[in-house]
Amino acid sequence: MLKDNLGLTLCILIALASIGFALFSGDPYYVQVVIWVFTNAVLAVTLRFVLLIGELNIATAAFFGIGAYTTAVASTIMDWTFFASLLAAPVIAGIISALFGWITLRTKGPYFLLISFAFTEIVRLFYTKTEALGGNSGMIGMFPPMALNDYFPAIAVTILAAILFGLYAAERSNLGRVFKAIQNNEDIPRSVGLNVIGLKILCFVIASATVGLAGGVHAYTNSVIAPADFTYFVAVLALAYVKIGGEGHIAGPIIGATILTLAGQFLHSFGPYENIFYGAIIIGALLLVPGGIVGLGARFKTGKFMGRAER
Amino acid sequence: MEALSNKNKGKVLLRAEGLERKFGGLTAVADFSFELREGEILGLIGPNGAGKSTTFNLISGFMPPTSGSLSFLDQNITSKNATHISRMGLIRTFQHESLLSEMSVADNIIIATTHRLKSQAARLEKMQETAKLTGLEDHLEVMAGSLPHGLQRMLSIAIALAAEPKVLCLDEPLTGLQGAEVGAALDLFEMIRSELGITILLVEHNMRAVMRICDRILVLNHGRLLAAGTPEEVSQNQLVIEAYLGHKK
Amino acid sequence: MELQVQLLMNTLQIGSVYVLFALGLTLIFGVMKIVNFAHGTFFTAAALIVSSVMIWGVDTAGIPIWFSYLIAFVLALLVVCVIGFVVYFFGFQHVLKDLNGSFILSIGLLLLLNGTYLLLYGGVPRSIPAVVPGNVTFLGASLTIQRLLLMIVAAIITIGLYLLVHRTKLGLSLRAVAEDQEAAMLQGIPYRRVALYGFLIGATLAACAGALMATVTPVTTVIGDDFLVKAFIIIIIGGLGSVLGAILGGLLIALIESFGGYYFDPSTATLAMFVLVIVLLIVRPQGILGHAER
Repeated sequence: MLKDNLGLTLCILIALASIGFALFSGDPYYVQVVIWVFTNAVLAVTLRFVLLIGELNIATAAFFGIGAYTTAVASTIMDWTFFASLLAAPVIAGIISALFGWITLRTKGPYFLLISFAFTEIVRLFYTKTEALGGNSGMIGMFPPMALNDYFPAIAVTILAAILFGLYAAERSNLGRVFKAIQNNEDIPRSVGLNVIGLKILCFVIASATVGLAGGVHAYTNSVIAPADFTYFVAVLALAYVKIGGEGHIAGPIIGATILTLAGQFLHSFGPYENIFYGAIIIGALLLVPGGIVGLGARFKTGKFMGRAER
Repeated sequence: MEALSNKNKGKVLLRAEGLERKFGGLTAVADFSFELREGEILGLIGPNGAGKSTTFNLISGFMPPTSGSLSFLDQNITSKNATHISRMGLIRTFQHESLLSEMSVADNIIIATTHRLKSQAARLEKMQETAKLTGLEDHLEVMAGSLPHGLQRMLSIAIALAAEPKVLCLDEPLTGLQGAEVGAALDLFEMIRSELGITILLVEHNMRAVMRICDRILVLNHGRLLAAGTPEEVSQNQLVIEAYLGHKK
Repeated sequence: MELQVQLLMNTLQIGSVYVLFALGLTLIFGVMKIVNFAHGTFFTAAALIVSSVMIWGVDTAGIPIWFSYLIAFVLALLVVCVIGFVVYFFGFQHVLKDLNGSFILSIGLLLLLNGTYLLLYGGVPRSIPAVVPGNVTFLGASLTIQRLLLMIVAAIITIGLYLLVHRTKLGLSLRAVAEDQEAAMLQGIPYRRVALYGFLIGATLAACAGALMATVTPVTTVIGDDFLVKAFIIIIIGGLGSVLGAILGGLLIALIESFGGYYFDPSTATLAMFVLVIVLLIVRPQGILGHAER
C-alpha cells in the first residue's frame, strides 16, 4: 500500500515535471516528443481499460480518430472556441461508442475483436470518401488561439496526464473491481444483481470518450490530420506498449509507451526494419516476458508489491 | 418439528408451472411444477442429467424456458433476465466456477454487495460480517482460486449471502467437502434459514445431508418430477428407489 | 443481361479467392480458437514466390510458362507449409485457445513477415506473364481463360476441402476438436497434432489463393492484407469456425462488392458490408450458420 502511494507520488512528480518542461523548454521538438509519449500512453491505457472486462478493443484507434476529426470539424468548419472544440471530442466519441457498444458488446471474444477491427477500417474509409472531411488528404488548420499558443503544449500534457490519473482512479474504485470481476467470470456479478452488459458498455464508453479527448488534443498538436493516421495499426502499437510494459498494472502501458515512443524516434529512418523491430519485440515480449516489464518487477519483489493486480 | 408447522403457514415465494426446456431435440426439463414456500429448505434431487442444473438456470434467469411460467414474489418473471431476478432477491450459486478465482476473497464478497449498498463503508462492513459468518475472516486477502476447496465452497455461499437474498438457491454446495466440513455447512444452512430468515432451495447429491436438513424434497428424473414430499415419504417411494438403483449400475 | 452476367462472373472470380482465404481463417479458428491476423502473410508469401519463380523461370531459364507456373505453385505451397510449421512450432502452439495472446502473436508476425518480404522483394509491384492466354465468351460476357481456370481450380480446392472435413478421418478429428476440444481428447484424439494439421491446411489454403491470385493481379508485398478486412467480415457473417458459412459468406461479400461496386462505388459496397454485419449482429450474434457462443 505504502509503496503504491510512493509510486503514485512519483507519477505525479513526473507529470508535473513534464508540464513544466512543456512550459519552459524552448525546444519545440522535445516538447513534441513529450506530447507524443503522453498521447501514446493514453492510447495504451485506454486499450488496457477495455481489457479489464476482457475484450481486446481495436476500435481504440477509431475513437482516437473520431475525437480528432470532431475537434477538427468543430474548430475549422464550425469555428467553435478552443475549449468547446476539445470538449466536443469526448462527447461525440462517447455517444458513438455507446451506440456501437450497445450493439456489439452482446458478442465477445473473437467476434468483438473482429468487429472492432472492421469498424476501425470502415470509419477510416468513411473519412477518405467524405469531401467535407478532406477525403484522403484529411483536414488542416487546427491551431490553438494566439493567446494560448505558448501554453498549448502545457495544456495538452495537463489534459493527457489528467486522463491517465482519472483512469487510474476509475480502476482503483469499486467500478474497476466490478470490471475485473466481469473479466474473471461474468456469471458471478450477474448472479448478484449487476447489469453486466450495461457495465461493459460503460467501460467501453469511458475508454472511448477519453481516447476521443486525446484525439482532440492530437488534432491541435499536429494541426494536420489524415485518415491514414487512424488505421487499426494505431491500436496495434498501443497493444505493443501494453504488452511490453505489462498489463498487470496501469503503469505497464505507460512505461511501454514511453520506451517504445522514444525508441521509435530513432527507428523512423529504418524503413522495413521498423516493422521488423516492432514485430520482433511484440513476439519476444509475448513469448519470453508474458508479464511485461511490470510483471518482471513484480516477480523481482517476490510478488507482493503488485500481487493484487497480477493476473 | 417447528419447521414442519412453518411450512404449511409459509406463503409461496417462488412458483413454477409447466416448466419446460429443450436443447435442440433434447428435453432437459419437462412439465415441471413446484412451489417454494417462505422459510423452508426445499431439496431438489435426482440422478445425473435429471435436469437439476437446468432448473436452476431457468429460475435464476440464466436461461429462458421453452415454455411454462415462473413467478417470484407474486410477479411474473418468466421472461426476465438474470440481473432482474437477482435484484428481486433470488440469488443462486454455481456448481462449477462458482467464484472470481483471480480476485481476493474480500473483493469476491464486496462485488456481491455492490448493487444493494452504495457506500463503500457499508460494503466493507457487510463484507466483514459475511466473511465472519462463513468462516472466511482470516483469509480476506487470499486469492480466491488458491483457497482450499472447502473454503472455496464457503466463499461461493458468502458471495450469495452478501447480495442479501430472500431466496437462496444452492447448486451442490457440499460437493467435495470432507466429513466435518459437511456438518459445519449444514449448520450454516440451518442458521441462514432460522436466523437470517432466508428461504433455501438446495440441489445436492449427498443424500444423507439432504434427508437431514430439508423440509420437503422434489425428485427429478429425466427432466420430470418423479416424486415430492417429506424426506420420509420420498425415501420410501418405490419409484425413487428404482430411479436411483437403476442409475447405480 | 450481358452486364449482369459479367458482374456475376466477377462475383464468382473474386468470390472464389475470398472463399479460399476465409476457409483457412475459419478452419484455424475452429481448431485452435485463435484469430490469425497473419493469415494474409501466407497469401502474400505464395504470391511473391510465384511471381519470383515465374519471372526467373521464363526470362532466365527459358522454361515453358505453364511448367514454370506449376513449379512455382508447388514450391509456393511447400514454402508456406514450412513457414506455417515454424510459426506454429515456435509461436502458436504456446498460445492455443488464448484469444488475446494469439492475436498479439499474429500481429507481431504480420509486422515481422511483411517487413521481411519488403526487404527481400522490394516495394515495386510485379506482374507475371499470362499462363494461358485467350478469352472465352459466355452468354455475351467476356472472360479470360486464365480467370476461368482460377475459378475452376478454386472450386475444386473448395470441394476437396469440404470432402476432407466431412468425409475423412482427419476431417472428423478436426470437427471434433472444433466442437469440444476436451471431449475430443477424451476420445483419444491427439489435440496438438490435429491443431497443427488444421493450421497447416489453413495456411495452404491461403497459399493456394495467393498463388492463383498472382496470375491475374500485380503482386506486392502487402497484397494479402487487402483481403484481411473482407475475410473477417466473411467469417463473422458465416460464423467463426463454419466451413459452409465461409463459402456462402465469401460469395455473398463478392456479390455485394461486384454489383455494389458497379452500381454505386467500391467504398459504398464496403460500407454496405459493414452495415450488413451490424444488422446481422443485432438479429443473430453467432453468425448465419454459427453455433451459439458458450
